[in-house]
Amino acid sequence: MIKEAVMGALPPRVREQIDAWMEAMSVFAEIRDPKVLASLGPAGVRGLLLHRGKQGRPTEMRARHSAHFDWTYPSDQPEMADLYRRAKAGQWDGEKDLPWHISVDPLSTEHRLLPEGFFDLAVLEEHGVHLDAKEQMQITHSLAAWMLSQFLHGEQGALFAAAQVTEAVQFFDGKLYGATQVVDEGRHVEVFNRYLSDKLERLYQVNDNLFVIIDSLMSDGRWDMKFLGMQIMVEGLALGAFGTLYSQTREPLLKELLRRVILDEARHVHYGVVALREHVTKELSESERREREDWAFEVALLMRNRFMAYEVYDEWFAGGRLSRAQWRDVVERAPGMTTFRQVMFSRLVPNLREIGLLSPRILPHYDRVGLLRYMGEKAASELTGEGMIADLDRTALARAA
Amino acid sequence: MLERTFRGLRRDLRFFLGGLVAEPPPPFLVRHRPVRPLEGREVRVDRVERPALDSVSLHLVDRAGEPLRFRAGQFFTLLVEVDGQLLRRAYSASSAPGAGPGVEITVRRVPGGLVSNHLVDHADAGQLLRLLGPSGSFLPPEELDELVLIAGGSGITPIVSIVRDRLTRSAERTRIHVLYGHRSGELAAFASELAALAKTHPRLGLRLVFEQPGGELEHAVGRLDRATVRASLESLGALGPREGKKRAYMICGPVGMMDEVRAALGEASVEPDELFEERFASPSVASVDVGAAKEPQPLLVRRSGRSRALVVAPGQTLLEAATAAGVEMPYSCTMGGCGACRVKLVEGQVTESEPTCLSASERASGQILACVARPLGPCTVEVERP
Ligand code: FES
Ligand SMILES: [Fe+2]
Ligand SMILES: [Fe+2]
Repeated sequence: MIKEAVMGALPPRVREQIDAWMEAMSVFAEIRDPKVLASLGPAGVRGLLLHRGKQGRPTEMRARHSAHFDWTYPSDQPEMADLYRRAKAGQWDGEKDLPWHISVDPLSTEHRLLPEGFFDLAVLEEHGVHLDAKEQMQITHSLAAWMLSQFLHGEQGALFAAAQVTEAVQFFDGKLYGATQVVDEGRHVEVFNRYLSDKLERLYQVNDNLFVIIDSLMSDGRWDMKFLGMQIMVEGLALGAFGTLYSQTREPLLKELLRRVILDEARHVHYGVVALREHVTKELSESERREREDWAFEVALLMRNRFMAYEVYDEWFAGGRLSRAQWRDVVERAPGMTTFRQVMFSRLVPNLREIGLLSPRILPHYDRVGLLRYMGEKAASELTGEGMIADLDRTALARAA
Repeated sequence: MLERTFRGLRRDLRFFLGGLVAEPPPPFLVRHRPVRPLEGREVRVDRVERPALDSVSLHLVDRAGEPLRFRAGQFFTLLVEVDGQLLRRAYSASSAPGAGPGVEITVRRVPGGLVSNHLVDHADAGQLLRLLGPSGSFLPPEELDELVLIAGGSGITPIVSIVRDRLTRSAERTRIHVLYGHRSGELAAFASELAALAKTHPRLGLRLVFEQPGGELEHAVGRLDRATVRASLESLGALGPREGKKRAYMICGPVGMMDEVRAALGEASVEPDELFEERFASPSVASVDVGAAKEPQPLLVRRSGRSRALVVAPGQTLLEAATAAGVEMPYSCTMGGCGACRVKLVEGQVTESEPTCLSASERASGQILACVARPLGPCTVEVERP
């Protein structure tokens, strides 16, 4: 009460800044495991408080892993060798294989980037903001561009992480496979970047939370942490997000772009599951395993609760039109965002189960935040990219019917 | 080193304090699509009119708000997607330059024509299209005493642009004669507009010749054959002795009609340098890769003493390969219609989608059009013009 009264008396910019600090503090406070805090903390300071990703200059992140050489070239991971073979056959050209000649009108009602009703306008009205028809289209454009920008930033992270992991991993078949993933990620950067600059003509700044995750992975010396973070968490969530957008968008170029990317990503997550299952079950001590289990849970929460699209808020509502708390309410209750949150986790949770990071000790925590219902879904190692696309097409059809 | 750290710390502090001390960083950066020349510029259909049965006029404006500059008589290349295929067609401007921010092009239904049928049936305001150009040298000389314009069928579009353009110049004295032939008054786009203009502008003379009798407009019945052309021009007073007057004859229409007109003018001893022709032939899609190599082929591009080696992928034209590799080559219409992309084939062989605008003598001297040429094997070309 008192807090609110004091806040209310401050100018909007100051209020917003204080809210941002408090939110950062609450992220740190929520982390229960000291080891996890030690690994996420420094990155959290750099991202959430110092906004290193938004300082308008390139960011240097020091890597601390070591390159693992093997002069005997063992070939003892048939599943990875098979993925390598499939990856080579599945290459495509981001320039020639996509219909770039399609003109995209971000404000078109016929080829909507995001479905109508992505935002619940009633919630905005509740907070006293009325958007006319044109503004509704414009904010959807902003949101679509924001989302794709975060995909792009995530792909940059994936590109470097894939390269690092290729150096660090001890499976030789995995290294060969990893080389194809590096190419894949390069291509993803290429196509998302081109889509944003050619078609949507804007690029949003990297979201602070995404920055924190990327930063902490880059600077962690343990390859399996990089792997867990990138291949399982970030890629797993991205795969869910790509899938949702794929089945919801009416823009044909974006749809085809996402379809291609999903086929690649399905391989990446599959590889992540295969490699980590091997490592977690055979190499790690129980306490090391537990640390990863906790880390994965914290990161999952960070991703679930904290992707609030503040960059879009800054563009549209900062400076007094809406408070950050009101905006959070709008985002949390946006039907489109809800779908995203759900589908994202439907891909992630089964993968964590498959690699052995969902032991009974952590289940109650997942249950508490409502993520346990995805336990029964298929893991990436049981799914193919084609199967995933077919699934998405089926659900989209069902929804249309 | 120390200073770098210090500056870094200061930046960190500023961003930590954020909204308290400074403007927040911009939420996004504006990106500009890099120029990918062969894709042309993006235009929006601002308005659609149907000037006659089976014709549609599209008013196009640049999507980025840039004015579209061209000269009366020039054409644009429209890139249209039909059934997932990107097709190119040339259409003359029918509006006068500067009459608005954009350009009007008029499309007439061609039996079996993929693009024309698509546009006539489906063109609608708000659509986005891509446009290349302007191209073409069907331009009347500036200083003239008499301008004789002869159009058959959809050949009327550049002619209308020229008429509209000339009539806005109030200080000009040039007499303009228009002879326009078509199958019927119903199909003849712009016929009534021309008739109205002729009533209000004494320096414009008009003669309409339709194959079918009837309709509201005054017209002769027949086709533009040699005798009719001659008789009509005579009645317009556009064929008499020159008497030191400067005259130009401009013809645009189907091939058969152009032959007749040329013959009629020859009989009336019109000089070749008084004659301007525009011939339209849209490339047939089928002719695209007749005999072209199925393997990538090396290409050497020489230009002012320097050369660049590149590779032409199967199906690519020389121009596409060069632009994709960042080698600049002149071009305009990209469909063999304007000659801007002429290069000399020094070595090797190519196949070109016909018809093109190359003259027999240009062909004989080894010139090819890079925009429609596909290599049959390794090639070397020389870009001769600036
Ligand atoms: S660019 Fe016009 S003929 Fe080649
Ligand atoms: Fe990727
Ligand atoms: Fe990936």
